[in-house]
Amino acid sequence: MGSRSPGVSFKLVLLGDGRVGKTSLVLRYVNNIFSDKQEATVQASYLTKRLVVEGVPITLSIWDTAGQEKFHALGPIYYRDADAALLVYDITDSDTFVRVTKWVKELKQMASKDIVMAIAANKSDLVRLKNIETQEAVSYAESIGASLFVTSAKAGTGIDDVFSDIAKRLLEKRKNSADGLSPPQPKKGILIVDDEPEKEPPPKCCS
Amino acid sequence: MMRWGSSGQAADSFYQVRPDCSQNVPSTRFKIKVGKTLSVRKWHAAFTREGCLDIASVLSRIQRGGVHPAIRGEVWEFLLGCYDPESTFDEREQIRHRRRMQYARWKEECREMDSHVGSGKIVTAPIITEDGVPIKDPLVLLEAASDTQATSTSSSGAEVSDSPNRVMDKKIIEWKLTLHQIENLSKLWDILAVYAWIDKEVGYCQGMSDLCSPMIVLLNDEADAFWCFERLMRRLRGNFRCTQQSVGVENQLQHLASIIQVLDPKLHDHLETLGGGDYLFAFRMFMVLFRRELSFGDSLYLWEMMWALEYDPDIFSTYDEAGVATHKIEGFKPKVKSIRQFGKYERENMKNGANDGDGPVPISVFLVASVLKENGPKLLQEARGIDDVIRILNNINGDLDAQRACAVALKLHKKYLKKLQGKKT
Repeated sequence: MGSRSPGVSFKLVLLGDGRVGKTSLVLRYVNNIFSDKQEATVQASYLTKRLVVEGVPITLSIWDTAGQEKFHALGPIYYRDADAALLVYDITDSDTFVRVTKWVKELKQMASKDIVMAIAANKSDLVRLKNIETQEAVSYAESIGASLFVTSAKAGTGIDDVFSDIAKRLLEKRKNSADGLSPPQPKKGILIVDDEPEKEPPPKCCS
Repeated sequence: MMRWGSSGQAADSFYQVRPDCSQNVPSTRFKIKVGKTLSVRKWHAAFTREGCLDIASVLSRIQRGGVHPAIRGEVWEFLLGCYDPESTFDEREQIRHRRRMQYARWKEECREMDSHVGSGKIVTAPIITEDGVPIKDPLVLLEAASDTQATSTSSSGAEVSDSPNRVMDKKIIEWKLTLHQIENLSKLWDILAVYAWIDKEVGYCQGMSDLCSPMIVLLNDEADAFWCFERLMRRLRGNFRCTQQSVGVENQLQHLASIIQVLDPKLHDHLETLGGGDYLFAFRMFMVLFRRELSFGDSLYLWEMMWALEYDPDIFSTYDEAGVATHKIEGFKPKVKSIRQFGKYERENMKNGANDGDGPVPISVFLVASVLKENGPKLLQEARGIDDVIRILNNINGDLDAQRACAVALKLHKKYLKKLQGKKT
């Protein structure tokens, strides 16, 4: 796997309602640009970002998906093998937060592995007056083992934090599994009996 | 590559790019070619004194070299079935007048429900709750009527209004709930808002703006642009009827799968092994008709070639009979037309009886097939997972050759029909 680039690579998928700013977040993060007139994503687009966490070079393959509810059926093809999900909602629109909770539910049920999650409360630049009410969102994030970051793709705030949080946790997880589980051990209680001679070699080499 | 001699005139200058968007705009390959492109002179010469159009001569030009940008809007109105080529100038003027009035009425109806419609402003946050309670002070983006883009946002914490003006009509709530999802250019926003109101089954779906924006560029009058878009949606609205479980383009994806299976079984097997047997990775090409794979100028060129190739002279009457926003009625043929009045692709289908059964396969399926075929070696060599497939196809970004794609699509179509015939006998 890691032959394409040095270090470790992870697949990150962005999920969230339409027009909450997923593409803008990614474009701000990867290319440091922002457009007021960002066109809607149809299907999904793909970007990579290289970063170094604790001395380890990491490549994030970022999948930015189309958010509108109508495209919901496309979700699985992107989160299927994802290592992490960044769930984005629009801080000015509570419905988009509800959508995040729906995605989380679906991810927990459907995603193939224990996926690392973070939540971005985007468009913080639009809320001028009151301090941003994220209490509910913060405790929700805690309850699912994710952190919540208040972001603004327009102002460029909070974005590096959320991505590096994901990267750090991914790395940690990879380390832990590398310490304890590799080479993959058989589950407890299952005894592999090696008495039969090998009938045929495994059909494919898939190292 | 520069070619000498018949290189033709570049067409990019006809479409202005906003200065703030000039970065990363792919350049257009389309060239206005003498003797191939439908010229202004040839177009005007194709009308009789009363205004009946010799559609056959027009089609043959468009299929070879597209339409001169100066007349694109008016030509498209015929290609998309807004008007019948056999009608007169006067008849069309009446229809145009009637339609403009109709659009104005619909827009007014929408404006009465929500005053942002037609105001030059657009909403970017919900204006209503699902129970129909208006949200006070939604985020509204002011878009100056001119192109100076003096945007300012009036914002505050969105609050649910205390006023008793709760909306009870479910249809209106549904419509209002879609408004803040529409993309943010005021004319585009107005047209899509009105469309969402008259075609409630489809409403608004991301990608529709890609299809609508060229109409606004080509047709000065907002109502005329709306009607061109509405006719285009007749062909494509099925694509936008997605549900939680399925996407609207499924039918076309299935056709695509069987075409690739017949024409390039190796590629099909490879894609299937990678978990792409559903061909969902080709979704975007169908949804926005290659708008993202081509430069702006080239997508216009590709579209007009497609519509010319698919042209059915009864398109106007079928749409007109069917009323607003319903599917084309299959098998409805009011008058016998000469074969020359049909597009080349359509003729091929008629010859082979390929229009029977589920109806014709749109040419877009063969265009996607041509893109896959062209990228076949790369897909076979480099794609190790479905992610790679999507990445390779995404990288086409603005780089597809419309002329070539069309030529290859027609070849594949012929080959496919031949193979099917071979199977039948």
